[in-house]
Amino acid sequence: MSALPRDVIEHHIWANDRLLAFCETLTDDQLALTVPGTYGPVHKTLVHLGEAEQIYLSRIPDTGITRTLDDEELPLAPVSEIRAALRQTGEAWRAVIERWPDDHPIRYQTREGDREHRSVSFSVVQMLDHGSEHRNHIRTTVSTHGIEPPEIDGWTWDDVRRR
Amino acid sequence: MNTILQDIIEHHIWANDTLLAFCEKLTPDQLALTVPGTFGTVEETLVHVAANEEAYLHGLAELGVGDEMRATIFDGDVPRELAVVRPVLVKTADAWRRIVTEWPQNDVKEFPGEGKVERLPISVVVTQVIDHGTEHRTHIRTILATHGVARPVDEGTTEPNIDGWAWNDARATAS
Repeated sequence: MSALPRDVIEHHIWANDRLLAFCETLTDDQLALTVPGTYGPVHKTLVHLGEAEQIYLSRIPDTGITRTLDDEELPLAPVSEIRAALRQTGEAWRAVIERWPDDHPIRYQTREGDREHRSVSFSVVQMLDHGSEHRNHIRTTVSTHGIEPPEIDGWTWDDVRRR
Repeated sequence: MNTILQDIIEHHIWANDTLLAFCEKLTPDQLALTVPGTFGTVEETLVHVAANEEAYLHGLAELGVGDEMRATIFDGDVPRELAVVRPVLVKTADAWRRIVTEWPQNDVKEFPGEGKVERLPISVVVTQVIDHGTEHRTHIRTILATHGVARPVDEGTTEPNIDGWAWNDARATAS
């Protein structure tokens, strides 16, 4: 297994957890903040982040991950529950790329009933892009409202892991 | 060569290119748009992305990783304007492809920093360029959506659609 993709995924897992830890300190009013051009309120975006990871992994064989989060379901899951779910999916991604270090085809049925043929590699690409996009929606939202978000870039990740 | 890593880099390159192609059709007034909580204007953000891609690769090249890469934007060799972004990103795309092909085992190198030398694996720079690119592409799409320049697409994001699904569809169409 090349260390390069492993580190890209480790950064993703760390960035999710760091942002969730930050969001656990926000009030309900702060979790309800949003700005135009983003997915929506902070809390809803966090649930969306978690549910997407669960959906991607549920389509890969033997991950043990099923969807428990739904951003259309009220009340929204507590932030602590989302953080716990993302820790589970983080472990699952580690296992997936160890098991299939150089890709593996997957087949699944969508919620609409369509049969899809994709791959582990595609799922990793989508998971990384999706996660980063929505983490940055949240960072933009809170900073617009005067709250300093945590640094979650690659340099910070490397500094933290080497401490 | 690792397929997962190759695909991560190929999506990154494609997403940069697709967003840039969208922005190249904008008017000067649209390129000057911004919103709070982002890096700056659309044009400044695109130049910033390209400048840092060059700078990361310049740093790696100085350590013997990859071919020589001048930081033309940061060094002021070229103006900080939209026209310079595409040629820089074409150059950096080729360089990233070569690096992930030639250095898959992630050698640790000594990076000169601010008053000290840090030992970092190459993967830190690859991780940074991917995260940095996604962050600023998201900023630009947020700006364009806020000002009504870009329309909503699936899942609360905006055009141009540059997610993994769109990339997969685009490469399937191209092949």
